[in-house]
Amino acid sequence: MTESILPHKAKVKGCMPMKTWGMIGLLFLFPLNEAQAGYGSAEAVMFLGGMSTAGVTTTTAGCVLTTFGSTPGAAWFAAALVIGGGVTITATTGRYHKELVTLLKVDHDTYLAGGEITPFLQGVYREVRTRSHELQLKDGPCVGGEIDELKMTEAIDKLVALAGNP
Amino acid sequence: MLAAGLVLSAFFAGPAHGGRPDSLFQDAWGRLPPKVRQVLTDSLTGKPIVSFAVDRDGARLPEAKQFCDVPEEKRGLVLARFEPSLLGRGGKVVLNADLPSHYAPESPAKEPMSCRHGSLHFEALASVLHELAHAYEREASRRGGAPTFPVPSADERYLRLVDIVPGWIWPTSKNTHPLRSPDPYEVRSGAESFAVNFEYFLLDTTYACRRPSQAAYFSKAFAFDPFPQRTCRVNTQVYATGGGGVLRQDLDPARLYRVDYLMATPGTSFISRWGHSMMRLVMCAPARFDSATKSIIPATPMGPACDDDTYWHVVVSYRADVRGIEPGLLSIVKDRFPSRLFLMTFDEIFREYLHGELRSLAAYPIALDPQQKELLLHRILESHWGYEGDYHFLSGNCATETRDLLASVLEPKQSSILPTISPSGVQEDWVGEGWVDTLPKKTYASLLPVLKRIWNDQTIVTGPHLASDGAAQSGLVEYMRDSKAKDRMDVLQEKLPCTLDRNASIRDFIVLEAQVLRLQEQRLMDEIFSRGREKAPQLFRQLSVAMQARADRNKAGAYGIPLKDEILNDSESMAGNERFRKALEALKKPLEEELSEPIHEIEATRQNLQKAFVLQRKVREGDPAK
Repeated sequence: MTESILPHKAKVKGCMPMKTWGMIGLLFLFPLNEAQAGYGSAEAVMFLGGMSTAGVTTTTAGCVLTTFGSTPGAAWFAAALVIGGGVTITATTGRYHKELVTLLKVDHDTYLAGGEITPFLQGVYREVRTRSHELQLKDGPCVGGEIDELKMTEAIDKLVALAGNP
Repeated sequence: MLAAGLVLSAFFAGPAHGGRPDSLFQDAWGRLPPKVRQVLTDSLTGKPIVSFAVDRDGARLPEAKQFCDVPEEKRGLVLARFEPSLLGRGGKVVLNADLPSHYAPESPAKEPMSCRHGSLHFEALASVLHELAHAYEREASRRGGAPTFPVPSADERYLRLVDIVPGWIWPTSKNTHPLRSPDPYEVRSGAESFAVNFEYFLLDTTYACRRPSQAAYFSKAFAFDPFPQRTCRVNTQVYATGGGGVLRQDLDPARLYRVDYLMATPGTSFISRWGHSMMRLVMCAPARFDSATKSIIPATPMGPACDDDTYWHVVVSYRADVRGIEPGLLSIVKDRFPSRLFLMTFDEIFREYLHGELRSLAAYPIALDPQQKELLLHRILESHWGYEGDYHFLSGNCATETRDLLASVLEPKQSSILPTISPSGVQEDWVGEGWVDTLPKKTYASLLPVLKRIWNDQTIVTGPHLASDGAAQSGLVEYMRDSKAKDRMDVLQEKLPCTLDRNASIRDFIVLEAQVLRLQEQRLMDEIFSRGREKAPQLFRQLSVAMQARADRNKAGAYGIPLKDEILNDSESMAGNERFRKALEALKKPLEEELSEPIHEIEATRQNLQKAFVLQRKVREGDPAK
């Protein structure tokens, strides 16, 4: 049986070293404005991939995951979002987190409704697939390469809730 | 006969030392590639066939400090000229009389300049090399030219590298407003382009990193590398436009898996009637998970997995900046707009076309070997940083620009009297050349069919149901444009009790609502630009300046592809974004009252989306109240 890669109470242990995260993350600047991105405020915001710039002072990626709330599954998924989107969310306020999650949510619903997968969403899926191998989840080691769409949907719903929606 | 004021001198009249014309010539002569010296030497006597003179009647040279302050066209200064012999070979290089006195090999940086060659010493040397380049081309042509004695200004391949194309009468440069040019004189003609670039090729150790394609051409043509020990590298870091801002990307040739010709289907506006031509750089992600070793490894070796790294793909798109202007038919025919090569994330292009304009994309892989891929990347970088032409919708458009860009890398075998000017025409030409296949490798469908399906499902319940495809489409467009957020939410609330799959109904509502929001925001932005241009011209100008600065991302003062320390760092880039944001806000402010209705509707649409998210979650969780 294929185990879920996004269990409700997953515990993230496997962390990519900060150096690697920084290498990937520092490649990106990802500003959004309402005119062109279509979501959120008009502020053109630059997200730097370096974790320290996001107000997160931890040394490993896994620790970053826990900043997204008490639901580790969703938090882990948020990290995939960070990597897939090449952005670091300003976890301290959650403000841009909300914009990105909205973007992800709409992209995912559009995809499920029959639209093409956006590069942003594809990036997230890609990270979910590739990183699932190294994530030791509480329910057991996950099996990579497969994405359980229901769990993906569930995780996005949780992210939406965590992003500040009632 | 000698012109008045000229003092003729023999070549190499004495030992080289500062301040003397003969030593200046000797130094310049010694820097020439052996092949050029060979052409400029009398084979019988072994002496140069070029003499030199100083023009004592010429204008005085400004001081180094002022040299760069005076615009080129107002300087009215001829530093040197080449006078070919009317009777036979060779000719005479005539120098401004002030120039030799600034030649100072013992302290070449003594009179620094903030432009061109950096000091008057090198300016003097460059002037001589420039004229010797002209002398060489004349003599090489007399000797039969290529392949033994290449004449760059007569070589189509070189001309394509420097954006010079055949004109009605003679070849002309498309780069009408060159950016980061070492000397704008270079765009005058093929001969001047060669002479200017030859100066830098021989004098600047970083030339091969700033203009790699021309440096490679010269090195090959003359079998000569003036600085084999150079330490610089071509800076492949760029800022690609994405998400309304920029994304720093590394266009490392080692990570370039493939290049696609990317074609957008025609749009509905005048300017998009023919579709759009672009190129997509299929860049591999910088790292990926390796299931064999269970570790993160660099993206090489590359392979088909890079096709899925779409987030890292970069699109190369020549565009006219017509924001806030909807060109009419007459304008399309007669007006010119600035044309620049923009680098954009594929995510941005995807959203712009598939979602924003409801147009599809087709990707045709271009057959390139690794060296051609690297050369194309260099050409893209050179154009991105240095090119600004005139976007003319009927002759200098995205299709012709993209065609010319690839032709500077792959030499076309066929040439037609009537050049192709449409995106599909370019694709057909390239099929003929064997560069792309007839069918695309991948197509990306617009969101329109999905939206039409959602609209049809909705109208079955709410009516009026429009059976024909055309009617459904126009009904959809009207609905997205004119409906109110509150009414749309009411429709959902009415529909939900009657539907079997409430989750899918809410999902469809979210997709449609997101599309409405996109259109509303685009319309608002267009309104801000067009009204702002008219009612707040000063603020509009400030915004234009901020946009330009945001697009440039480089520091002033150098030429060609910026070296790593010449592009903005991340915090400087962020400051540029901030200036743009403030300028946009400032333009928006005085218009808020008259645009209060669309602003209110946008906010209401956002609220609809958030409400739908909550509703959907409750439905999924089985909330009996829903």
